[in-house]
Amino acid sequence: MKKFYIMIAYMFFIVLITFFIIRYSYNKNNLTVENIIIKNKFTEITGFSDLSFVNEADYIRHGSVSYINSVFFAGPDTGEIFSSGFMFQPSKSLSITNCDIKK
Amino acid sequence: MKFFLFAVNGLWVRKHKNLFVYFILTLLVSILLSVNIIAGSIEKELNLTMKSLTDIIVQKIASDKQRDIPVDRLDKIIEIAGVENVFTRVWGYYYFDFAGVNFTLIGLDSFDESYKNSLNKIAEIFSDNFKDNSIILGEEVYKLFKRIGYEKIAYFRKTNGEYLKLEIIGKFRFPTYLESSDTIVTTLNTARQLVDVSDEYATDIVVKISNPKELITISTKIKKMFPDVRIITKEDIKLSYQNIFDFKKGFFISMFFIVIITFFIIVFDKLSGFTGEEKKEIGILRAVGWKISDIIKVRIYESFIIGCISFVSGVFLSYFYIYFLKAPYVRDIFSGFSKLKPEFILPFYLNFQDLITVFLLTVVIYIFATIIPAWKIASLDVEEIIK
Repeated sequence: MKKFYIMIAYMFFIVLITFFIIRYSYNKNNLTVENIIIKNKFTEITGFSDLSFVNEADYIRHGSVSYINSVFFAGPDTGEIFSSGFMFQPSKSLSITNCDIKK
Repeated sequence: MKFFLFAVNGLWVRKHKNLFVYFILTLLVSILLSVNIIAGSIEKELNLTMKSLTDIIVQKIASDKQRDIPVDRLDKIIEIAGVENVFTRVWGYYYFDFAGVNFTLIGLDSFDESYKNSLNKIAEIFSDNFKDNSIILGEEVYKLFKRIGYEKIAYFRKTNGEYLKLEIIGKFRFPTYLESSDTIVTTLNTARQLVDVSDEYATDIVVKISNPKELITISTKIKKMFPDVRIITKEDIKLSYQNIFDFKKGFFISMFFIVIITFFIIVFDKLSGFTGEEKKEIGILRAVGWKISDIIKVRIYESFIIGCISFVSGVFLSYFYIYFLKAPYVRDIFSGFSKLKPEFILPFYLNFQDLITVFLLTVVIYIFATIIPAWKIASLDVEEIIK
Protein backbone atom coordinates (compact mmCIF):
# COMPACT_ATOMS: atom_id res chain seq x y z
CA MET A 1 0.00 0.00 0.00
CA LYS A 2 2.92 2.35 0.75
CA LYS A 3 4.16 2.08 -2.85
CA PHE A 4 0.67 2.81 -4.06
CA TYR A 5 0.49 6.03 -2.01
CA ILE A 6 3.94 7.14 -3.20
CA MET A 7 2.80 6.58 -6.79
CA ILE A 8 -0.41 8.56 -6.24
CA ALA A 9 1.52 11.40 -4.57
CA TYR A 10 3.95 11.56 -7.50
CA MET A 11 1.09 11.60 -10.01
CA PHE A 12 -0.64 14.36 -8.06
CA PHE A 13 2.59 16.36 -7.94
CA ILE A 14 3.15 16.06 -11.71
CA VAL A 15 -0.45 17.08 -12.50
CA LEU A 16 -0.19 20.03 -10.11
CA ILE A 17 3.05 21.44 -11.54
CA THR A 18 1.71 20.93 -15.08
CA PHE A 19 -1.38 22.91 -14.14
CA PHE A 20 0.81 25.65 -12.67
CA ILE A 21 3.09 25.90 -15.69
CA ILE A 22 0.07 26.13 -18.04
CA ARG A 23 -1.45 28.81 -15.82
CA TYR A 24 1.89 30.68 -15.72
CA SER A 25 2.22 30.48 -19.53
CA TYR A 26 -1.33 31.76 -19.96
CA ASN A 27 -0.84 34.70 -17.61
CA LYS A 28 2.55 35.68 -18.97
CA ASN A 29 2.06 35.18 -22.68
CA ASN A 30 -1.60 35.65 -23.45
CA LEU A 31 -2.32 38.69 -25.59
CA THR A 32 -4.66 41.19 -24.01
CA VAL A 33 -7.65 42.58 -25.89
CA GLU A 34 -5.87 45.92 -26.10
CA ASN A 35 -2.79 44.31 -27.67
CA ILE A 36 -4.95 42.55 -30.25
CA ILE A 37 -6.71 45.82 -31.12
CA ILE A 38 -3.35 47.59 -31.57
CA LYS A 39 -2.04 44.76 -33.77
CA ASN A 40 -5.16 44.87 -35.93
CA LYS A 41 -4.94 48.63 -36.22
CA PHE A 42 -1.41 48.30 -37.59
CA THR A 43 -2.49 45.72 -40.19
CA GLU A 44 -5.50 47.86 -41.07
CA ILE A 45 -3.56 51.03 -41.83
CA THR A 46 -0.53 49.43 -43.49
CA GLY A 47 -2.26 46.46 -45.15
CA PHE A 48 0.63 44.18 -44.24
CA SER A 49 0.17 40.87 -42.49
CA ASP A 50 3.70 39.66 -43.05
CA LEU A 51 5.58 38.84 -39.87
CA SER A 52 9.02 40.40 -40.00
CA PHE A 53 11.00 37.23 -39.57
CA VAL A 54 13.12 37.45 -42.71
CA ASN A 55 14.68 40.79 -43.67
CA GLU A 56 17.72 39.81 -45.68
CA ALA A 57 16.02 38.67 -48.87
CA ASP A 58 12.71 40.25 -49.81
CA TYR A 59 11.80 37.50 -52.26
CA ILE A 60 11.43 34.91 -49.52
CA ARG A 61 8.83 37.01 -47.80
CA HIS A 62 5.14 36.60 -48.28
CA GLY A 63 3.86 36.32 -51.86
CA SER A 64 1.62 39.36 -51.65
CA VAL A 65 4.45 41.64 -50.55
CA SER A 66 7.10 39.99 -52.63
CA TYR A 67 7.77 38.83 -56.18
CA ILE A 68 6.22 35.99 -58.07
CA ASN A 69 8.55 33.57 -59.86
CA SER A 70 11.23 34.31 -57.32
CA VAL A 71 13.65 31.88 -58.95
CA PHE A 72 13.90 34.07 -62.04
CA PHE A 73 14.27 37.12 -59.90
CA ALA A 74 17.44 35.72 -58.39
CA GLY A 75 18.64 34.28 -61.70
CA PRO A 76 17.19 31.85 -64.27
CA ASP A 77 19.44 28.96 -63.28
CA THR A 78 19.00 29.39 -59.53
CA GLY A 79 17.38 26.59 -57.61
CA GLU A 80 14.35 27.34 -55.48
CA ILE A 81 15.37 28.79 -52.13
CA PHE A 82 14.06 26.80 -49.22
CA SER A 83 10.59 27.70 -48.08
CA SER A 84 9.92 30.44 -50.64
CA GLY A 85 8.30 27.98 -53.02
CA PHE A 86 5.77 27.08 -50.38
CA MET A 87 4.78 30.61 -49.55
CA PHE A 88 2.90 31.64 -52.64
CA GLN A 89 -0.48 30.11 -53.34
CA PRO A 90 -1.84 31.13 -56.77
CA SER A 91 -4.88 33.31 -56.52
CA LYS A 92 -8.22 31.63 -57.19
CA SER A 93 -9.23 34.44 -59.48
CA LEU A 94 -6.10 33.94 -61.61
CA SER A 95 -7.13 30.43 -62.47
CA ILE A 96 -10.63 31.43 -63.55
CA THR A 97 -10.88 31.33 -67.32
CA ASN A 98 -13.20 33.28 -69.58
CA CYS A 99 -15.43 30.19 -69.80
CA ASP A 100 -16.04 30.38 -66.07
CA ILE A 101 -16.93 34.04 -66.31
CA LYS A 102 -19.62 33.37 -68.94
CA LYS A 103 -21.22 30.67 -66.74
CA MET B 1 -8.17 -2.78 -7.16
CA LYS B 2 -6.28 -6.03 -6.46
CA PHE B 3 -4.88 -6.04 -10.00
CA PHE B 4 -4.07 -2.35 -9.83
CA LEU B 5 -2.05 -2.78 -6.63
CA PHE B 6 -0.31 -5.74 -8.17
CA ALA B 7 0.59 -3.59 -11.21
CA VAL B 8 1.98 -0.82 -8.96
CA ASN B 9 4.06 -3.40 -7.15
CA GLY B 10 5.28 -4.81 -10.47
CA LEU B 11 6.39 -1.32 -11.57
CA TRP B 12 8.41 -1.01 -8.38
CA VAL B 13 10.08 -4.38 -8.83
CA ARG B 14 11.25 -3.53 -12.40
CA LYS B 15 11.99 0.11 -11.58
CA HIS B 16 15.15 0.54 -13.68
CA LYS B 17 13.51 -0.68 -16.86
CA ASN B 18 10.35 1.36 -16.22
CA LEU B 19 12.30 4.52 -15.41
CA PHE B 20 14.08 4.21 -18.77
CA VAL B 21 10.74 3.91 -20.59
CA TYR B 22 9.34 6.83 -18.54
CA PHE B 23 12.16 9.20 -19.53
CA ILE B 24 12.12 8.26 -23.20
CA LEU B 25 8.33 8.53 -23.45
CA THR B 26 8.34 11.91 -21.63
CA LEU B 27 10.95 13.23 -24.04
CA LEU B 28 8.97 12.01 -27.06
CA VAL B 29 5.73 13.60 -25.85
CA SER B 30 7.44 16.90 -25.05
CA ILE B 31 9.23 17.17 -28.42
CA LEU B 32 6.10 16.34 -30.41
CA LEU B 33 4.00 18.73 -28.38
CA SER B 34 6.58 21.54 -28.45
CA VAL B 35 6.64 21.53 -32.26
CA ASN B 36 2.84 21.70 -32.38
CA ILE B 37 2.63 24.45 -29.77
CA ILE B 38 5.28 26.67 -31.40
CA ALA B 39 3.76 26.32 -34.89
CA GLY B 40 0.24 26.85 -33.51
CA SER B 41 1.35 29.84 -31.51
CA ILE B 42 2.90 31.67 -34.49
CA GLU B 43 -0.13 30.79 -36.61
CA LYS B 44 -2.38 32.19 -33.89
CA GLU B 45 -0.38 35.41 -33.94
CA LEU B 46 -0.86 35.68 -37.70
CA ASN B 47 -4.53 34.82 -37.70
CA LEU B 48 -5.23 37.49 -35.09
CA THR B 49 -4.59 40.20 -37.67
CA MET B 50 -5.96 38.36 -40.71
CA LYS B 51 -9.42 39.84 -40.36
CA SER B 52 -8.02 43.37 -40.61
CA LEU B 53 -6.35 42.71 -43.94
CA THR B 54 -7.82 44.29 -47.03
CA ASP B 55 -9.96 41.96 -49.14
CA ILE B 56 -8.21 42.28 -52.51
CA ILE B 57 -4.73 43.47 -53.55
CA VAL B 58 -4.30 44.36 -57.23
CA GLN B 59 -0.74 44.35 -58.57
CA LYS B 60 0.41 45.03 -62.12
CA ILE B 61 2.63 42.32 -63.57
CA ALA B 62 4.77 42.69 -66.68
CA SER B 63 7.37 40.17 -67.83
CA ASP B 64 6.67 38.32 -64.60
CA LYS B 65 7.73 41.19 -62.40
CA GLN B 66 5.65 43.50 -60.32
CA ARG B 67 5.47 46.98 -61.85
CA ASP B 68 3.95 50.25 -60.66
CA ILE B 69 0.24 50.46 -61.34
CA PRO B 70 -1.39 53.60 -62.88
CA VAL B 71 -3.48 55.48 -60.31
CA ASP B 72 -6.31 56.16 -62.82
CA ARG B 73 -7.34 52.49 -62.65
CA LEU B 74 -8.80 53.37 -59.27
CA ASP B 75 -11.75 55.14 -60.91
CA LYS B 76 -12.70 52.09 -62.96
CA ILE B 77 -12.43 49.67 -60.05
CA ILE B 78 -14.62 51.79 -57.78
CA GLU B 79 -17.42 51.59 -60.37
CA ILE B 80 -17.67 47.79 -59.97
CA ALA B 81 -20.81 46.91 -58.01
CA GLY B 82 -20.01 45.63 -54.52
CA VAL B 83 -16.77 47.56 -54.11
CA GLU B 84 -16.89 49.59 -50.91
CA ASN B 85 -13.58 51.42 -51.05
CA VAL B 86 -10.43 51.53 -53.17
CA PHE B 87 -7.11 53.16 -52.40
CA THR B 88 -3.56 53.08 -53.63
CA ARG B 89 -0.51 52.08 -51.68
CA VAL B 90 3.06 53.20 -52.08
CA TRP B 91 5.53 50.87 -50.44
CA GLY B 92 8.78 49.09 -51.12
CA TYR B 93 11.88 47.61 -49.65
CA TYR B 94 14.86 49.70 -48.68
CA TYR B 95 18.14 47.82 -48.61
CA PHE B 96 20.26 49.07 -45.75
CA ASP B 97 23.71 47.83 -46.73
CA PHE B 98 25.32 48.76 -43.42
CA ALA B 99 23.40 45.95 -41.69
CA GLY B 100 22.59 43.88 -44.80
CA VAL B 101 18.84 43.98 -44.20
CA ASN B 102 15.73 45.10 -46.08
CA PHE B 103 13.38 47.49 -44.35
CA THR B 104 9.76 47.60 -45.39
CA LEU B 105 9.03 51.20 -46.31
CA ILE B 106 5.36 52.23 -46.22
CA GLY B 107 3.91 55.56 -47.30
CA LEU B 108 0.78 56.90 -45.62
CA ASP B 109 -1.28 59.94 -46.51
CA SER B 110 -0.20 62.63 -44.02
CA PHE B 111 -3.35 64.69 -44.65
CA ASP B 112 -5.69 61.89 -43.66
CA GLU B 113 -6.72 62.57 -40.05
CA SER B 114 -7.82 58.97 -39.45
CA TYR B 115 -4.27 57.77 -40.16
CA LYS B 116 -2.90 60.28 -37.69
CA ASN B 117 -5.28 59.10 -34.99
CA SER B 118 -4.49 55.46 -35.70
CA LEU B 119 -0.75 56.12 -35.66
CA ASN B 120 -1.06 57.72 -32.24
CA LYS B 121 -2.68 54.53 -30.98
CA ILE B 122 -0.12 52.10 -32.37
CA ALA B 123 3.07 54.14 -32.00
CA GLU B 124 4.87 56.20 -29.41
CA ILE B 125 5.13 59.56 -31.12
CA PHE B 126 7.93 61.74 -29.75
CA SER B 127 7.04 64.84 -31.71
CA ASP B 128 3.46 65.18 -32.89
CA ASN B 129 4.35 66.21 -36.40
CA PHE B 130 3.71 63.57 -39.06
CA LYS B 131 4.78 65.56 -42.09
CA ASP B 132 7.02 65.03 -45.11
CA ASN B 133 10.55 63.81 -44.34
CA SER B 134 9.54 62.30 -41.01
CA ILE B 135 9.58 58.59 -40.16
CA ILE B 136 8.15 56.21 -37.57
CA LEU B 137 10.28 53.14 -36.94
CA GLY B 138 9.72 49.54 -36.00
CA GLU B 139 11.38 48.40 -32.78
CA GLU B 140 14.32 46.56 -34.36
CA VAL B 141 15.01 49.37 -36.85
CA TYR B 142 14.91 51.85 -33.96
CA LYS B 143 17.43 49.78 -31.99
CA LEU B 144 19.70 49.43 -35.02
CA PHE B 145 19.57 53.16 -35.79
CA LYS B 146 20.31 54.02 -32.18
CA ARG B 147 23.39 51.78 -32.30
CA ILE B 148 24.78 53.60 -35.33
CA GLY B 149 23.98 57.09 -34.06
CA TYR B 150 20.75 57.78 -35.98
CA GLU B 151 18.90 58.93 -32.84
CA LYS B 152 16.87 61.83 -34.17
CA ILE B 153 17.91 62.12 -37.79
CA ALA B 154 18.47 59.37 -40.34
CA TYR B 155 19.84 59.57 -43.87
CA PHE B 156 18.27 57.57 -46.68
CA ARG B 157 19.63 57.18 -50.18
CA LYS B 158 17.30 57.95 -53.07
CA THR B 159 17.48 56.04 -56.34
CA ASN B 160 19.38 58.93 -58.00
CA GLY B 161 22.12 58.66 -55.39
CA GLU B 162 21.16 61.75 -53.41
CA TYR B 163 20.59 61.49 -49.67
CA LEU B 164 17.39 62.43 -47.91
CA LYS B 165 17.48 63.71 -44.34
CA LEU B 166 14.59 62.23 -42.34
CA GLU B 167 13.44 63.07 -38.84
CA ILE B 168 12.67 60.14 -36.52
CA ILE B 169 9.41 61.09 -34.84
CA GLY B 170 8.34 57.84 -33.21
CA LYS B 171 8.48 54.08 -32.88
CA PHE B 172 5.85 51.38 -32.88
CA ARG B 173 4.50 50.06 -29.64
CA PHE B 174 5.43 46.66 -28.25
CA PRO B 175 2.24 44.73 -29.20
CA THR B 176 2.94 45.21 -32.93
CA TYR B 177 6.44 43.85 -32.53
CA LEU B 178 6.21 40.92 -34.94
CA GLU B 179 4.36 42.82 -37.67
CA SER B 180 6.26 46.08 -37.45
CA SER B 181 9.77 45.31 -36.31
CA ASP B 182 11.41 45.98 -39.71
CA THR B 183 8.90 48.59 -40.85
CA ILE B 184 9.46 52.28 -41.52
CA VAL B 185 6.34 54.37 -41.97
CA THR B 186 6.60 57.73 -43.67
CA THR B 187 4.42 60.11 -45.65
CA LEU B 188 3.25 59.31 -49.15
CA ASN B 189 5.49 61.99 -50.71
CA THR B 190 8.62 60.82 -48.93
CA ALA B 191 7.87 57.18 -49.77
CA ARG B 192 7.45 58.16 -53.45
CA GLN B 193 10.91 59.74 -53.42
CA LEU B 194 12.56 56.78 -51.72
CA VAL B 195 10.99 53.99 -53.80
CA ASP B 196 10.94 56.12 -56.96
CA VAL B 197 7.23 56.05 -57.79
CA SER B 198 5.80 59.08 -59.59
CA ASP B 199 2.46 60.74 -58.72
CA GLU B 200 0.61 59.00 -61.59
CA TYR B 201 1.57 55.58 -60.27
CA ALA B 202 1.31 53.53 -57.10
CA THR B 203 2.86 50.25 -55.92
CA ASP B 204 -0.47 48.48 -55.80
CA ILE B 205 -4.19 49.02 -55.37
CA VAL B 206 -6.16 47.78 -52.41
CA VAL B 207 -9.87 47.00 -52.69
CA LYS B 208 -12.36 46.71 -49.84
CA ILE B 209 -15.65 44.95 -50.62
CA SER B 210 -19.02 45.02 -48.88
CA ASN B 211 -19.98 41.35 -49.12
CA PRO B 212 -17.29 38.66 -48.66
CA LYS B 213 -19.35 36.27 -50.80
CA GLU B 214 -18.74 38.50 -53.81
CA LEU B 215 -14.96 38.26 -53.51
CA ILE B 216 -14.42 35.88 -56.44
CA THR B 217 -16.90 37.72 -58.69
CA ILE B 218 -15.28 41.10 -58.06
CA SER B 219 -11.76 39.63 -58.44
CA THR B 220 -12.77 38.12 -61.77
CA LYS B 221 -14.23 41.42 -62.97
CA ILE B 222 -11.01 43.28 -62.09
CA LYS B 223 -8.94 40.61 -63.81
CA LYS B 224 -11.12 40.87 -66.93
CA MET B 225 -10.93 44.66 -66.88
CA PHE B 226 -7.13 44.69 -66.52
CA PRO B 227 -5.55 41.49 -67.90
CA ASP B 228 -2.05 42.54 -66.79
CA VAL B 229 -2.80 42.38 -63.07
CA ARG B 230 -2.59 39.67 -60.47
CA ILE B 231 -5.17 39.51 -57.74
CA ILE B 232 -4.29 38.46 -54.23
CA THR B 233 -7.21 37.87 -51.92
CA LYS B 234 -7.28 37.73 -48.15
CA GLU B 235 -8.01 34.01 -48.40
CA ASP B 236 -4.91 33.46 -50.60
CA ILE B 237 -2.70 35.06 -47.98
CA LYS B 238 -4.25 32.94 -45.25
CA LEU B 239 -3.79 29.76 -47.28
CA SER B 240 -0.19 30.50 -48.13
CA TYR B 241 0.66 31.02 -44.48
CA GLN B 242 -1.15 27.81 -43.61
CA ASN B 243 0.97 26.06 -46.25
CA ILE B 244 4.26 27.32 -44.92
CA PHE B 245 3.52 26.31 -41.33
CA ASP B 246 2.05 22.93 -42.28
CA PHE B 247 5.12 22.31 -44.39
CA LYS B 248 7.56 23.23 -41.66
CA LYS B 249 5.65 21.25 -39.04
CA GLY B 250 5.38 18.27 -41.40
CA PHE B 251 9.06 18.48 -42.31
CA PHE B 252 10.10 18.44 -38.68
CA ILE B 253 7.71 15.67 -37.69
CA SER B 254 8.68 13.50 -40.68
CA MET B 255 12.31 13.74 -39.57
CA PHE B 256 11.26 13.03 -36.03
CA PHE B 257 9.19 10.06 -37.23
CA ILE B 258 12.39 8.04 -37.63
CA VAL B 259 13.14 8.67 -33.95
CA ILE B 260 9.61 7.57 -32.98
CA ILE B 261 9.95 4.33 -34.94
CA THR B 262 13.36 3.68 -33.37
CA PHE B 263 11.85 4.24 -29.93
CA PHE B 264 9.10 1.70 -30.54
CA ILE B 265 11.55 -0.85 -31.90
CA ILE B 266 13.65 -0.45 -28.74
CA VAL B 267 10.61 -0.63 -26.44
CA PHE B 268 9.13 -3.58 -28.28
CA ASP B 269 12.45 -5.37 -28.28
CA LYS B 270 13.03 -4.69 -24.59
CA LEU B 271 9.56 -5.77 -23.55
CA SER B 272 9.18 -8.76 -25.81
CA GLY B 273 12.48 -10.16 -24.64
CA PHE B 274 11.09 -11.01 -21.20
CA THR B 275 13.70 -11.91 -18.67
CA GLY B 276 13.58 -15.39 -17.15
CA GLU B 277 12.27 -13.90 -13.93
CA GLU B 278 9.37 -12.17 -15.64
CA LYS B 279 8.49 -15.30 -17.58
CA LYS B 280 8.63 -17.26 -14.32
CA GLU B 281 6.32 -14.72 -12.70
CA ILE B 282 3.73 -15.09 -15.47
CA GLY B 283 4.08 -18.88 -15.26
CA ILE B 284 3.50 -18.91 -11.50
CA LEU B 285 0.51 -16.60 -11.81
CA ARG B 286 -0.98 -18.87 -14.44
CA ALA B 287 -0.23 -21.88 -12.24
CA VAL B 288 -2.01 -20.40 -9.22
CA GLY B 289 -5.12 -19.87 -11.30
CA TRP B 290 -4.80 -16.44 -12.97
CA LYS B 291 -6.48 -16.23 -16.34
CA ILE B 292 -4.77 -14.83 -19.46
CA SER B 293 -7.12 -11.84 -19.28
CA ASP B 294 -5.98 -11.14 -15.68
CA ILE B 295 -2.32 -11.05 -16.72
CA ILE B 296 -3.14 -8.75 -19.65
CA LYS B 297 -5.17 -6.56 -17.30
CA VAL B 298 -2.13 -6.13 -15.01
CA ARG B 299 0.05 -5.29 -18.04
CA ILE B 300 -2.48 -2.71 -19.23
CA TYR B 301 -2.52 -1.08 -15.79
CA GLU B 302 1.27 -0.99 -15.69
CA SER B 303 1.69 0.55 -19.13
CA PHE B 304 -1.24 2.90 -18.59
CA ILE B 305 0.31 4.25 -15.37
CA ILE B 306 3.71 4.79 -17.04
CA GLY B 307 2.06 6.20 -20.20
CA CYS B 308 -0.13 8.68 -18.32
CA ILE B 309 2.62 9.92 -16.00
CA SER B 310 4.95 10.29 -18.99
CA PHE B 311 2.29 12.15 -20.95
CA VAL B 312 1.57 14.65 -18.16
CA SER B 313 5.31 15.07 -17.55
CA GLY B 314 5.78 15.64 -21.30
CA VAL B 315 3.09 18.34 -21.28
CA PHE B 316 4.80 19.99 -18.31
CA LEU B 317 8.20 19.82 -20.00
CA SER B 318 6.97 21.28 -23.29
CA TYR B 319 5.20 24.26 -21.67
CA PHE B 320 8.21 24.82 -19.40
CA TYR B 321 10.53 24.72 -22.44
CA ILE B 322 8.41 27.03 -24.58
CA TYR B 323 7.07 29.62 -22.15
CA PHE B 324 9.64 29.55 -19.37
CA LEU B 325 12.86 28.89 -21.31
CA LYS B 326 11.43 30.67 -24.41
CA ALA B 327 11.94 27.67 -26.71
CA PRO B 328 15.59 27.98 -27.70
CA TYR B 329 16.57 26.33 -31.04
CA VAL B 330 13.16 24.85 -31.97
CA ARG B 331 11.47 28.22 -32.47
CA ASP B 332 14.22 29.17 -34.94
CA ILE B 333 13.01 26.34 -37.18
CA PHE B 334 9.69 28.13 -37.55
CA SER B 335 10.80 31.72 -37.50
CA GLY B 336 13.97 31.40 -39.60
CA PHE B 337 17.24 33.20 -39.16
CA SER B 338 17.61 36.91 -39.67
CA LYS B 339 19.81 39.74 -38.49
CA LEU B 340 16.85 41.91 -37.55
CA LYS B 341 14.70 39.17 -36.09
CA PRO B 342 12.49 40.50 -33.32
CA GLU B 343 12.73 38.98 -29.85
CA PHE B 344 9.09 38.03 -29.96
CA ILE B 345 6.96 36.42 -27.28
CA LEU B 346 5.05 33.35 -28.36
CA PRO B 347 1.38 33.83 -27.48
CA PHE B 348 -0.22 31.19 -25.27
CA TYR B 349 -1.55 28.23 -27.26
CA LEU B 350 -3.45 25.18 -26.02
CA ASN B 351 -5.21 22.88 -28.46
CA PHE B 352 -6.91 19.72 -27.16
CA GLN B 353 -6.81 18.17 -30.62
CA ASP B 354 -2.99 18.31 -30.55
CA LEU B 355 -2.94 16.82 -27.04
CA ILE B 356 -5.18 13.92 -28.12
CA THR B 357 -3.08 13.28 -31.27
CA VAL B 358 0.16 13.17 -29.28
CA PHE B 359 -1.51 10.93 -26.65
CA LEU B 360 -2.64 8.49 -29.34
CA LEU B 361 0.75 8.57 -31.08
CA THR B 362 2.74 7.80 -27.97
CA VAL B 363 0.83 6.40 -24.98
CA VAL B 364 -1.74 4.26 -26.81
CA ILE B 365 0.88 2.73 -29.13
CA TYR B 366 3.09 2.06 -26.12
CA ILE B 367 0.25 0.25 -24.32
CA PHE B 368 -0.28 -1.99 -27.35
CA ALA B 369 3.46 -2.62 -27.61
CA THR B 370 3.49 -3.99 -24.05
CA ILE B 371 0.30 -6.07 -24.19
CA ILE B 372 1.20 -8.18 -27.22
CA PRO B 373 4.36 -9.86 -25.78
CA ALA B 374 2.62 -10.44 -22.43
CA TRP B 375 -0.31 -12.07 -24.19
CA LYS B 376 2.07 -14.22 -26.26
CA ILE B 377 3.79 -15.62 -23.15
CA ALA B 378 0.62 -15.95 -21.07
CA SER B 379 -1.11 -17.96 -23.78
CA LEU B 380 1.65 -20.60 -23.74
CA ASP B 381 1.35 -23.76 -21.67
CA VAL B 382 2.20 -23.19 -17.95
CA GLU B 383 4.76 -25.96 -17.90
CA GLU B 384 6.48 -24.58 -20.97
CA ILE B 385 6.73 -21.08 -19.45
CA ILE B 386 8.24 -22.25 -16.16
CA LYS B 387 10.76 -24.48 -18.00
